[in-house]
Amino acid sequence: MYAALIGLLTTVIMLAGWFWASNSLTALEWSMYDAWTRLKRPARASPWIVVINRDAATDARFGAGAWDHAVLARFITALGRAGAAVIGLEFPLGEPSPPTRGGIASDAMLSEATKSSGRVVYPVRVNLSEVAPPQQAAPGTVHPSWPIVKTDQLRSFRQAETLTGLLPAFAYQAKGVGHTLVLADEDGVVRRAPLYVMFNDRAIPAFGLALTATFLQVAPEQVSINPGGAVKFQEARFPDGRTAPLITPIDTRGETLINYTGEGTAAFTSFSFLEIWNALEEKEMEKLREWVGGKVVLLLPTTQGPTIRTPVGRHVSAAIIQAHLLNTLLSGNSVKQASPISGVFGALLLTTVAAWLILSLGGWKGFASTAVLAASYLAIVLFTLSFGGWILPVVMPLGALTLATAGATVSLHLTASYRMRLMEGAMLRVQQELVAVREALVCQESNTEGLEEDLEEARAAAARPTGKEQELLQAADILREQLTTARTQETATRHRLQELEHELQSLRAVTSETHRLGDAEQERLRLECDALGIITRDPQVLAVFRDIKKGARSSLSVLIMGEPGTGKELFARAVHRLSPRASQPFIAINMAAISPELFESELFGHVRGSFTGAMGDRKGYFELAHQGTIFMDEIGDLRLEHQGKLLRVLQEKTFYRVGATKPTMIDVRVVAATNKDLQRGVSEGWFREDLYFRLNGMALRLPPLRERRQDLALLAERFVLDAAARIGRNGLTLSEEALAALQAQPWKGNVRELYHCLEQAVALVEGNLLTKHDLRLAPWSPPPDPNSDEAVLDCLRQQEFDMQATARALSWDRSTVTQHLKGMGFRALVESGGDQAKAALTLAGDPALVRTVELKLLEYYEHLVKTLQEFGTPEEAIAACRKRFKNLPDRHYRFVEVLIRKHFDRS
Amino acid sequence: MKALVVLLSVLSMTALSLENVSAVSPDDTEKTSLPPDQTAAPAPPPSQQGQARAELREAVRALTKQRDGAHPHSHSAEAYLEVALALIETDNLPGAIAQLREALRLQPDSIPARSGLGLALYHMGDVDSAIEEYRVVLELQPNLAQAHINLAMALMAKHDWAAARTELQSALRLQPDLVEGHYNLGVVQYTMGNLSGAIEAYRQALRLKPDFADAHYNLGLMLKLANQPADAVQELLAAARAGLPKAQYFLGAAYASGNGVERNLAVAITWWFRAAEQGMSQARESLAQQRQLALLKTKQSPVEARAAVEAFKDFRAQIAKEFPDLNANVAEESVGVSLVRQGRSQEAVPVLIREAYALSEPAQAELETLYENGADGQLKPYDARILTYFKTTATEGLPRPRTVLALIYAKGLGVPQDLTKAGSLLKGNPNEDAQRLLKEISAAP
Repeated sequence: MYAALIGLLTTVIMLAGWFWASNSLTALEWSMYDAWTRLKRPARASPWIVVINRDAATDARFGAGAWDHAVLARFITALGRAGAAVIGLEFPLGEPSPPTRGGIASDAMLSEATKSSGRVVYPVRVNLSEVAPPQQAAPGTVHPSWPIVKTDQLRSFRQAETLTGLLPAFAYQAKGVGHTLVLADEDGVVRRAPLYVMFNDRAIPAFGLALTATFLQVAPEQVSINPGGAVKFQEARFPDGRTAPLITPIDTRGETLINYTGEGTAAFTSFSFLEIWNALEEKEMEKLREWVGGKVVLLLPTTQGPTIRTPVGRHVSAAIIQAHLLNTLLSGNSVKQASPISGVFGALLLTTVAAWLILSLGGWKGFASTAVLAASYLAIVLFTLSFGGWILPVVMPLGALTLATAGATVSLHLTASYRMRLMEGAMLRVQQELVAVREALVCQESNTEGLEEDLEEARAAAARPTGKEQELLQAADILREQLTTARTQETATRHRLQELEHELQSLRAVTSETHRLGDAEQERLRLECDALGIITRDPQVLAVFRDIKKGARSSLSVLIMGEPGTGKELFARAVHRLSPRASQPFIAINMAAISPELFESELFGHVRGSFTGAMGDRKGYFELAHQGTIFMDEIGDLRLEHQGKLLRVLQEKTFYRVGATKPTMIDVRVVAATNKDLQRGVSEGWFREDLYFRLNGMALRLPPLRERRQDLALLAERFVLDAAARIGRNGLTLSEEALAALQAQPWKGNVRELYHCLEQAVALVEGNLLTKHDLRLAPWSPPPDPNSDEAVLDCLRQQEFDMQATARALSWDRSTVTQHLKGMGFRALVESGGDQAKAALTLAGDPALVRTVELKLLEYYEHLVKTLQEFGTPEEAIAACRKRFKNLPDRHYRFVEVLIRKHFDRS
Repeated sequence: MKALVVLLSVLSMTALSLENVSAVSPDDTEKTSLPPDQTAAPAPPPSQQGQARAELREAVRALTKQRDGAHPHSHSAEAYLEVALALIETDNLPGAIAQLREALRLQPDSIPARSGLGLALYHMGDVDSAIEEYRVVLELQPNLAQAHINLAMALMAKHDWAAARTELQSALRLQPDLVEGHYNLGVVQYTMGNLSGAIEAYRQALRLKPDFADAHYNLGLMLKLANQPADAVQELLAAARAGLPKAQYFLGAAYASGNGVERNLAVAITWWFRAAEQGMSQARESLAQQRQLALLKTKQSPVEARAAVEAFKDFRAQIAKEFPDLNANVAEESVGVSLVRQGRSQEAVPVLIREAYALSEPAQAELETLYENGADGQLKPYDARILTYFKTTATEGLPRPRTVLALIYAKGLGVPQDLTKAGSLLKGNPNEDAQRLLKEISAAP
């Protein structure tokens, strides 16, 4: 449906183009037909046509101008006696002969010869009129061989106003009279002839048609003319004895296409007039009979005078065109032009198929199949032209096909890009919801934990004989109910969280979908990667490289995401080297390493005296990277206020050096890299959405080394070789055992870690073989004490502070994990001097997790404060809390005490 | 003065008479009173030039006879004029032109001298100079009709038809009875495409001079082209009777096709014979065509072939009527043969040739005998006229004459022996004698 829409649209555009540039497109359309006419092997003309030319020798004998008509009379008589079936004289016969050329006697002689021969056809010149005079033709001005027709039916035909070029004395006696009108197409080339021109109620045939009618003995009443259809000679008597209709297609104006056979009259059986004349003088009738007997003899004038352009050549007279028309008619090789409507339908069909191919196959397959489609259509065009005589439109369908291919390709990309944006939006929304749900979950968890503690406390109190057991039991029941509700809510929230995470995962999977690479393409890409120092055979990495190649030529900003050590800078350099900016500078900055105070000075530079220590002007990184590429690593670690400044530079492409009053213009391509999830950063508010979209022109995800195991051996081998070469030790190899050990490693530090490991091993190895031992790999084992704060914190961080997940990972119950975190939280609060944000950051270790931790800390602290409200002195509170937080690891109690004392101190 | 006017008149009539002469000329190419066109037409043959000069000399003689009674304007100029006329007598036109110029130097307003110079220049082919001289004459004497006619003739030679028509019309206004004026106006009108104007001009000429054969002929052709065949036949008949061979040819063609007259091939053949005897090649062609039609018996037109045979038979019967003294029975066979039998061989040969051309087999056989043997005391063997007959008819492809001519060449009868030519003439000839002869020639060493 979409393909049909594209097809329709492109056909309409092509139609509009056709109306707008009709002349040029028509010329282009015909130029292909012309080329075919020129290039095809010219067939021999009909054997029933004999052309007699007035050549130079003839003119030398009889004069170059008009001849004595007595000569023509003798010629006609002789040819008549030699048995010529029809004699056509394309000669100027519109003026009476002056006395110097025989005068009236010669004219009378020609008239007599014409009459007695009874087989002569003369041409007449028609002068066209714009409107059709409706009255009947005056008697005596028409020739009996011209069919009488209904004028209203042939109103679209060309109308003759006057006739010239033939004396009535010759016209009366002629067997046929035909016009020699030829009209060029808009590009000045004559491809067709009007078969009939209207003269009042008569249809004057073309000279070639008049010759044909005379030759095939077709009477005027046996002619039927159907505009836009065909001219039909009902009972044409062919020279081979058969009687059959002769049908010639015509358009609405009565024109038919001439099927030219070669240039000039080369394809015709031809003689010079002098040859015929000499035979006549010598009375060699046998020879003459052999030459012209039973044939249409056409005497053509010299080729001097105005020439006409035809598909086969320039130097052609109107008479030669009539000879080709005669041949087209007699040989039955008419060429028919398909109607413009069929061109539109053809275009519609082709464009729809082409659009469908592009949309469904995409990429090179789509292009290849549309090329095959175009080639097939061209083949059909050639076939129908060569074997069926049908001219199918080429420019309209193929032009529309090209447009449709381009349109479908653009549409495909636009749709893909639009879908991508939609996905991004959806991901952001999911992320935001995730954050909200997580926060809710944290609150609910804390709430549940609080309730559990309260319930336990209530139970403990109820167990003590205080006389209020009943009340306490009731309170415990209420708490139990509240706890059940809280747990249900928590479960529901967890369920929702899972759903959202799943959704996010699906969205990520869709957006990072890559086309599969063929073997040949992989090999080619691998070699190209190699040249840029990227060592890989991993299809995922190669696909990333292919995307880089595609996008490198544009100025799109690039965002490279990947764990530390996955080679983000290497790919950033590849982007630079593959871009047109390759000869310009490449400036790499680690955003995490820039001190916040010097951020502006480092990036934008400063002018002398702009601050203390600014001894001179200094160019910033942006200015240094002018016209080149700036690579900003660890962009996720950029502080919010700096993000705003960076965004402005990227948007406006100008900045002020520190202390400068004039802006500095820059033209840089930005490649940013991060190991953080910026989308989540946007959702959680620690990364600006507008900056994210500004950087995310082209997003690339580099897989960690553990996901590209097949590259490990390759990388290891190369690193060993490089490292050995650097210290001048050749022939160093890696043992199978060592390689297996390398494969077993998790490589959290990715390629960088592998590199350093091998560099160290090479430096220290003694023999030529690197063994497992030489690699000095740290044994991978969990921390010795799973109860230690570090171990629990590490696990919490890994599980992104999801209590349930952490409990599962540690095989603990959830409350134990909560107590550990609570204890660590109190400790962090104490150590940070009550700064919750700092404490949260200390625990989270990752800005992405700060918010979760902060919420938990807040809940824990508030719960503690709430508990303290019942007590008057810190000691009472401490004693009560020791009971209340009895599950808290012992090592953390002192921090609880500190917090309690601080609370009482403040209050 | 009177004598010079006579000179002009006579000289201009000379131009007209040239037209007459050309119309009856046996040459089949068209000739007019005009001098040869430098670009379009070749120079007239010497015989025609000689004839023109003869006419010019006639005019000069007439002048010299009448000049004695005239009163000369200037004795010296008159002397030069006299010398000029004498030079024209001796065909020395350049000399005459020099003398006429001298006369004009002495007496620039001498109309006879200037007219004479114009005429002499015109005949020399210097048409531009002639036109200049005529224009000066007309400046001196604008009412001189003959001067207008002379100028018109020169303009016609220059193909300036419009100017020529104006001059002719001026001449006819001054002197409406100028026959040559009307005649030439007819020529000009036709050339300018005014067929009805031309017809009217010729009719006018014929009203003034009803026996003007050329006017009849031209009018006949005009009417024929104007698709008035019946009227055309009447005019052509008048011209044919006056002996114009072209008129006879066209008349024959009209009878042959039944165009404007009842179809009668016999009459057509008669007229064609008359024209052919005057050397009219088209008439010969037409007769040859009829002979072929009759003898080669083409499958396409057996009716036409029978008609041709009958027509020739009728024509032979007419020849017999020319010799009423001969026995009728004998005449049925061949008049020529009868004449030979009466010992009138010399007289018989042209008759036999005509009869043979009209497909008489006895005449043909007699001619064969006469050519080979001659007639005692009257006719030598190998008569050239008979040989020409055989050559002509053999070329037309008639089987019997081809055989006879082959024999003539094979035996070298009156011609150098040429077996190759004889062989080629016999090739494809169905005649039994021909086949036998061919075998003999082939067998010859």
